[in-house]
Amino acid sequence: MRKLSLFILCLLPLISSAQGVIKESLKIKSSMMGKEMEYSIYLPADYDKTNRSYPVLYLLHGYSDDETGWTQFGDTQHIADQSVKDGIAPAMIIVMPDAGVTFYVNNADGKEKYEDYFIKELIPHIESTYRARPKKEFRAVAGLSMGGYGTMLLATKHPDLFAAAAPLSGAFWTDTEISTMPAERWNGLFAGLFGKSDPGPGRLTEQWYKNSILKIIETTPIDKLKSVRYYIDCGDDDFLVKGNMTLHAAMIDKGVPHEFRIRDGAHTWTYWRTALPEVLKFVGQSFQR
Amino acid sequence: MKKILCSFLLIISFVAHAQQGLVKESLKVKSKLMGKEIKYSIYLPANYDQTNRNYPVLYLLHGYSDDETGWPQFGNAGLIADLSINSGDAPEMIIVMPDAEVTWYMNSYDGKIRYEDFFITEFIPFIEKTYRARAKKEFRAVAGLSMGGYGTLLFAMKHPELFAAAAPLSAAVRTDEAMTGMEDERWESRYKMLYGANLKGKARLTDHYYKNSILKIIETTPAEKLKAVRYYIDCGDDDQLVKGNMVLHAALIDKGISHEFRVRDGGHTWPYWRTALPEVLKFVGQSFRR
Repeated sequence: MRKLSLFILCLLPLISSAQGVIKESLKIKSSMMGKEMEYSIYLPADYDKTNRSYPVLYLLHGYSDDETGWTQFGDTQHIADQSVKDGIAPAMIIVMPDAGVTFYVNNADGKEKYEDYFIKELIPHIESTYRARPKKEFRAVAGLSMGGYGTMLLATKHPDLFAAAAPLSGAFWTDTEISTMPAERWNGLFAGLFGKSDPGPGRLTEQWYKNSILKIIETTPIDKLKSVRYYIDCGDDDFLVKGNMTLHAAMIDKGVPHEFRIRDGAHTWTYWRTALPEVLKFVGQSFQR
Repeated sequence: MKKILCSFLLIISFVAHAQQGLVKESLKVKSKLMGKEIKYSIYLPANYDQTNRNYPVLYLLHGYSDDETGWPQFGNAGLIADLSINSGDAPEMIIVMPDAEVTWYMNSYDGKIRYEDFFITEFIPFIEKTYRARAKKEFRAVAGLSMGGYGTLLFAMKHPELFAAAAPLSAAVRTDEAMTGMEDERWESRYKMLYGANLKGKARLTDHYYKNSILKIIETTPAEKLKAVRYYIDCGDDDQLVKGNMVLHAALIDKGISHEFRVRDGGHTWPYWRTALPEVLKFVGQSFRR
């Protein structure tokens, strides 16, 4: 009996060591944003023991969330650990930046340039601070809701940087939805980003078009768009499902291969927790051969 | 050794007795409305002959260029039904698979083809008289693929008082634009006998067309009637018909009709429909149970 207990005790380190580590709310100075920005990071099991370099997934949060959301509500550490253990996805670093309510865009007056911060400051910071593989092949981006929009924004505006993109319940609006959005809602969401305005065609500014996913897909050369793999997922009862269906149709028409899923559910963390394993598997396929 | 052998044989005997239903193919029913004999296949659940139970019925419709043997042969309907029932995912049920040739489950514009009428006024009563079927809305469901998905929606939405659940797979739901824009050859070969010959462009949007257009039916039928049926709508992300299915989902949302909608990985293929069938059985089974 004692031999058995001793044996089990010796095995425990083996079981418990297959766990990655989350570090929350780390800081990085940003001149593009004019302030300190925060991010959380998941480092795979054995990160400290090995000298390996890892692929990186940038995992973006939704409106009114922050760099702790995916950890706290998305169960990211547990899901990432489990995916690696089950052989569903390779080990990877997961970066979860805070984006406030910026929708990941450079704002109209140029005082808060989140897109530029992300591309020119955050990514280089991650790649110089951690053992990340600094190549397109090993970079992916994913996110929920506002972060789903951000995912497509970054991937389709910078296809040379990412191998895979996985927007979940992404916020994709047509020109009609943008121009008819009631002033109160528009100003609440976009006043700081695109400027205050009343409903009307006046909303379809150059800045809007530069940040409209549907317009970007329409106008970007197809070879550039095709160089990224896409996994687009939304719940059948999600209030954003129509925009996702419009996106699927637009990508079919443009001829951009992509995965599209509509599953049972709505705009909830329950839904995103079931999506995350598929996201890791999907981006993992870009990271492997 | 003897103990092991005995246990082994015991296990085998249990496995061998796993419940299996029976599929009978290409049985015939005389139809006055269609003016000929119509074929159908039927799945009867395990122990149908030993018991005197009555069962709920799922009408499972085939696609264009298929027939009453498609679902048994390519859809593995018998095997999948057995698995779903044995695992408890779905209750026992009769599954009826009628032949609809290329009628689109419709009545034609000139009254020469009356498949919808045949199905509702002759076929369902025939099934309920010939087999021990529970003859109530609560115990009747309809499902199908492609042309059969269209047929599913046609029957369920035109006759919501008859069905509790409908599960169209990769349904051929088309917008007016898709119909008016269809190449003439394709239109003629498929729809000439149902809507009329030599119709081009907007001329295709006849009264008869609208009476059988799923999107128009949704638009014009009172929401309360449509809500009387549960819907499970499923289509592959790479299926040519996915756009029509997305329009369907949006139309039902706008009308306020609760329903399940799924877009999964795949195209217009039997592997896709074989993975859909267990979900269909589970879904319609929920209407059959309490």
